[in-house]
Amino acid sequence: MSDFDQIKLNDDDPRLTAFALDELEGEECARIAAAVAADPSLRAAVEEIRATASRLAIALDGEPLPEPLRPVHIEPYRTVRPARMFRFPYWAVAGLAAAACFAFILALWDGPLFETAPGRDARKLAGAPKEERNGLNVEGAGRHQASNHIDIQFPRQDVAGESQTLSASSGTPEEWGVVVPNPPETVSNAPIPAPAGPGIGAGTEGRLVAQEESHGATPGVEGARARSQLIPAGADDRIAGSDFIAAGQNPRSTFPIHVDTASYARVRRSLLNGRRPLRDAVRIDELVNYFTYDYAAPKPADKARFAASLEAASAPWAPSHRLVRIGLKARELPAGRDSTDHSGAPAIVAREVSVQVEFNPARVHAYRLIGCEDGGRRKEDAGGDRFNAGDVRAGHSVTALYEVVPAGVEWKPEFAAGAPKYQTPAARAPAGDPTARSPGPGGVERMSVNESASKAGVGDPVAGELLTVTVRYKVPDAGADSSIEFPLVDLGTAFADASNDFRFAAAVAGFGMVLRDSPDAATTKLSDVLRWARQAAGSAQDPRRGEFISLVKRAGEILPAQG
Amino acid sequence: MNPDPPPSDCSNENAAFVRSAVEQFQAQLLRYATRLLGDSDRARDVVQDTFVRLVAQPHAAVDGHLAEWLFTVCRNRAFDVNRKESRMKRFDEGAAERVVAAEPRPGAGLEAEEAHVAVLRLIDHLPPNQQEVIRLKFQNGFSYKEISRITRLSVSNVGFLIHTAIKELRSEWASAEARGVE
Repeated sequence: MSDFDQIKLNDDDPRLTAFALDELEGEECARIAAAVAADPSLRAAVEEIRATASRLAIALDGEPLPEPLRPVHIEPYRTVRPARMFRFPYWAVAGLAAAACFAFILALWDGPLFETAPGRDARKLAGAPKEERNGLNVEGAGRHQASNHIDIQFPRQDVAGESQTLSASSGTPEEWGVVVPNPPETVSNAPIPAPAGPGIGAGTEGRLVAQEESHGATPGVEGARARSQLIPAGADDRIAGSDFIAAGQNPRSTFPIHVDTASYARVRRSLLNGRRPLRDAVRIDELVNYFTYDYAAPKPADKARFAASLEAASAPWAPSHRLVRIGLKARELPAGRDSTDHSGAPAIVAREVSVQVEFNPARVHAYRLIGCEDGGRRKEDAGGDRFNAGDVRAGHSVTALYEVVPAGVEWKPEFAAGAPKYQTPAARAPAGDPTARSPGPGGVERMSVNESASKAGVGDPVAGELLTVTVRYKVPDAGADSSIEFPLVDLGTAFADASNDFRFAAAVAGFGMVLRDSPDAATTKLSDVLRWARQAAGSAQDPRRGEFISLVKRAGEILPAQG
Repeated sequence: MNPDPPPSDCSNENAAFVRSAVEQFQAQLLRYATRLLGDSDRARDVVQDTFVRLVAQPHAAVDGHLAEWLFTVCRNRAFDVNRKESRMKRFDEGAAERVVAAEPRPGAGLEAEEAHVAVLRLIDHLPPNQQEVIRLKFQNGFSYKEISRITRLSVSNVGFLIHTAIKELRSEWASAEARGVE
């Protein structure tokens, strides 16, 4: 690459700015990086650009959000534009996959939200019986073709968790779990002028909402102002349960070798915009993998393509539980052989990689993989050279966290994934289950089989292991299967004595659990997370870790109840 | 007509997806649209239209680039609205003042707030096309490529606008600091 000497960058080159903002890739990036590395004035310019960018981001982040997101105030209308009811034409979306599952209407109106007057009929169902829920009259006297629709309105900022409006379709509000909010204390009496014309579904006093003729698949909406929150029935009823798995029954677990990091960007965006991220947007494995950790790669002399960095210490959110950090690092390639010619990405060092974690039931009562609630998602690969799922490039690393209930510690199996909800403890334990105990007082099963097993195994090296990580793969162009095993013996380290990387990853996981209202970290506060992160930040000035700490602080402002 | 499909896990997921999108992006889109239109009422309509369009999309069509899709649709709609009403009112001074209401964030020190407001003022003095791109990059977190797709400018054009804006801000800061002004 003699092109390096031809790059004459000066301070005023847009490529320098692009490089400073991590917008360059591949060869161009490498060339500019080399030019910058060789010239102190360019390095200084890059630092300045980054500092400017940082100040911009912080200042823009502080710019207040537009007014409509403040709490809804009931007040006289400021506009004479007619409020319109927009009905989403179900038939137009019937062919779409999404429509097979739901039909939405966006009801946008400029008026007070919770009226008890009969005029609210346009939002209600034709012919549905009058019913009263939660103190609000739901009238079924609408005159329009109700058919299949649900009204959805836009979020109000600080009513997270508060039930909002849905009116169900087809007279079956029960199916949709309609929850109708209590009316506010004051109700404006200013009428909404309804335009004359066909299809007016308003009842008395012009209080409501004209019908809009549909204009095809995506009619526009005019004049209305969004108010309340959009909650499809049932979505909030799921409370993410704890998902420990009994090691005696299912000792093997797996996690993906590639983890996306998009969740971190989403969480950051929400928090920087002053909003709590939705639970489903918080994927803890992605948060943890957003950061880099210092895992040693296999030595060049090793044949193995992977090295593992395993660590166990007490879980900071549940000190009687163990937290296991499994880090895997793929070998680096010798200098000069780093890139493929056409893509600039590092070469593939292993194919068809799979990871298995096997827990030792003599040491482990139960475990849960933190963060892979839906199996994880694969990160998109930019290399392009026949890259398949399970292919790993040189230098790749991945981190997985398991929370382990060790043998000898009380565990409530009614929280186990798949455990039936409404059975007595005695009925729950299947016959022949070696970990089953007769329930003690309060229905908590106690262990003694595992205790004695672990005591008996104290001198035996295998029995002393907590788990074994097995990585299987094929060497490219060789075809033969390889596998490496990495056992872990838990030395009983306390959290405070674990490495910085370990404690930082735990802080990130704790953050995710707080944001998800996870029952496994029910007593953890954001101030705890902040303390763990700060104490683990170490001396290295990793900007991502610094930014994480600011995000935690920001979250504390947005969620004071969990601070 | 169409039988009402019973609520299923699928419908809850899609509904949850749209709800999540609304909750996550409504504020940013409103802020962005208000800047483009100079008018928060019309901005609200445009943002509503954007989410209406989202409802019609199969989840898979937008998954992975939802933010970019939302901003693109929002921008197109805003320009349609502007064209239709023959009012090319971008970055109207009055509107900008409305959006930048100087309310300190809770817990932020007064000095820090003043500095932020000063920066925002500097940004407001940039030409509108630089401002849009700067905000997309530093306020909404998009990459050059995403910004290029949203605004239909070339990537190098985007890079040039950001470079110019940053250069301008750097020198303003430097001279402000040299003068001892905050």
